[in-house]
Amino acid sequence: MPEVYNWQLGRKATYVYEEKHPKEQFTFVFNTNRCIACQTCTMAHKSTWTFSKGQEYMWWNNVETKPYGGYPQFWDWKILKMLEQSNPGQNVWNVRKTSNKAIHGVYEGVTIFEAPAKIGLNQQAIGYVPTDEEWRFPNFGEDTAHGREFTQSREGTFGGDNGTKSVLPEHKIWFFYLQRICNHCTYPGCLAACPRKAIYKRQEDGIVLIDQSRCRGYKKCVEQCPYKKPMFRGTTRISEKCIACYPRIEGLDPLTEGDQMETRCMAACVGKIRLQGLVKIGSNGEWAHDPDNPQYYLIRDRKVALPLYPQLGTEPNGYYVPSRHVPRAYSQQMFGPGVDHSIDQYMVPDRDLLGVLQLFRTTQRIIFKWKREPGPKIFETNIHGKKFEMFNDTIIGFNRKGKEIIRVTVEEPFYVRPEENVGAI
Amino acid sequence: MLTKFKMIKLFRFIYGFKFCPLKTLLVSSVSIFLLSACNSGGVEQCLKDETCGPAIEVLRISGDLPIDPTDPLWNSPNAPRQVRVELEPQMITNPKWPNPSIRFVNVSAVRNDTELAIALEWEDATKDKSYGVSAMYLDMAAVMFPLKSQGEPPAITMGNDGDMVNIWQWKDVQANGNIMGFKNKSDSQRLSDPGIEDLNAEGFSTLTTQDHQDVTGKGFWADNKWKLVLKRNLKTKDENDVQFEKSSLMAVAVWNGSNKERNGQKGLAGWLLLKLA
Repeated sequence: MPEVYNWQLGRKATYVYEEKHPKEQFTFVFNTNRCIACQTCTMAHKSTWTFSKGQEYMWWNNVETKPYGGYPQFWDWKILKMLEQSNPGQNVWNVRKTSNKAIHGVYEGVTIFEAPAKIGLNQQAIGYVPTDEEWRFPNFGEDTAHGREFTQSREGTFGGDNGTKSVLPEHKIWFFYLQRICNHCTYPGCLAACPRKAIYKRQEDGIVLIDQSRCRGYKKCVEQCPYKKPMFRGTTRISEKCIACYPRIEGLDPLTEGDQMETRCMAACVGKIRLQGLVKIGSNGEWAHDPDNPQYYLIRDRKVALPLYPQLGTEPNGYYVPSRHVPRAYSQQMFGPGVDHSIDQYMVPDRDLLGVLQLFRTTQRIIFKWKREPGPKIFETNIHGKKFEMFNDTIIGFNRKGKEIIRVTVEEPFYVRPEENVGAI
Repeated sequence: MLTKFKMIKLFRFIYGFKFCPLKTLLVSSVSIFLLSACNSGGVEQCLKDETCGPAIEVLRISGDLPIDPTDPLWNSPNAPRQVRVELEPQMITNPKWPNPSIRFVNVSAVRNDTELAIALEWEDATKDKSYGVSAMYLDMAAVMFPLKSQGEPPAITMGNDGDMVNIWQWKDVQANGNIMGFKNKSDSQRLSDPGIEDLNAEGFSTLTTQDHQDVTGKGFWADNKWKLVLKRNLKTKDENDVQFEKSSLMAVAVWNGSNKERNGQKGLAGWLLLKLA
């Protein structure tokens, strides 16, 4: 099988097809710290794309409570277990090998594409087809916290065994929300698995689509996408998946008169946890150096946003700011070895990072470039022994053509309702 | 159709090996008799000297050809002779399928002046309803014919580049109380859908539904047995259809839904000789 370079793993990895890259790649950053699991994204998706017969169980966007929730149930437990069983004890990261080409170290274990050879399996990637029951409860385990101390607490409060409180940086009792859509992977498991070659990755933006006229419903994509985002539709007998609201990405929504827009689930986010964009891919297949692009800045420059289960080997293009109170070992399993660095940056952000974090969910238009204009110092404190200064900088976002589309300040403006309008809705 | 095919070929990622029945034989452990019989002298010679695996004698009658598998024509002492054909594992391409659950199919055929009907019969203890919303595995069967009648026969792997095959596939779409659908069909269309498709292929990944559907038929399950009749005019105006001017090669495949069989995960036999009289 061909070898392809996976920057998230810091090494070449086997894939079914030769390495090939789009001109730009659809990416998104989800800040798990901000999510309140209101499911507005989920409903924005649902009411846009999967409201028809046969699509009842489909949630291309879902928000699940970790560690117990999952849609389909236990999807990550199951694939991690299969990965572990294919290479027991060997799926480890070597962070000593961190370099420019391996910014999070080198993954020395096997990926879902490398595992079949280890266990003599005749398929492109390891995987399984979830059952109806597993798809049935998309919000199973909602708000169920993990932590032995919780159940043993005599006070019945969020206290520990001896009345010790959970304190940052890690809580003993914890849960967090994981927001999921298709990751529009660089090396998609679904695309590799399809015996029909009905799945393709778009040259212009790297969005992964199932050609509905070629699909014959073999469910191989359902089986071998580790994130379980392709779904089979009984009424048409073919499979469907998240299409990244591509008409909006293309700027076809009349609302913005041609300006490229974020997907529906991004634009609907109440908690302002989401920022989506497109990054440029250079002629060598690497992300082109572009720290003015908020996506590139958060993911590659500051390494604050991390891929979801990078060890699976598909190079997913959804990136997460890990939840800062979750035990690090759990987060590292989920987001790789970059977790400590990410949280260090996020907890005590500098002026640029704090600025870019303000851009989340401020406009429906895709921000291709950001700029910060300095403002006065407004606050100072210590966070875990580190000095933190806040400045009321202004952050400006620009569209592809360089036109200003959003302007925000670090400190939200304070509006006082005029006396005559008090009580008005 | 041709344009459609060329477009598909553009997108296709060609597998690293050339399609050739002999190589097919080498890389698979599929029955030597069935797959190698057609190697000497091409389709023409093989049809002429009838060395193409088991021969299915097509009975010629003068009346109508019933598509109902329960019709007396298919079940009387005068019914066309059934040939018991062994189905082999699919060990050529991923996903390989070393243990198909249906191992034998009885094949018979009958014609009149204008039409040809092929009957398949196999034992399957489950008329599959073993699917839900998120997954569905149907009982299916198909027959395949080369479009050309000269030279080397196309690869058994649904033909090969430049060597198109014509496939008639049946699916038990009436399972689950007639509610499951076919793409682009309304509910009322789905209710009367016999689940039969007229298709073309030029190798793996190229299977394509024809714009013009010419095949009819019907499946019937009783006593742990599927009976299926597929019928078509001997000649059609579609250049992508096999034309039955004389005998033809034919391959057979059966999928068992309860064994989660689909795509290359099937039992298959080919090439057989469909002997027209």
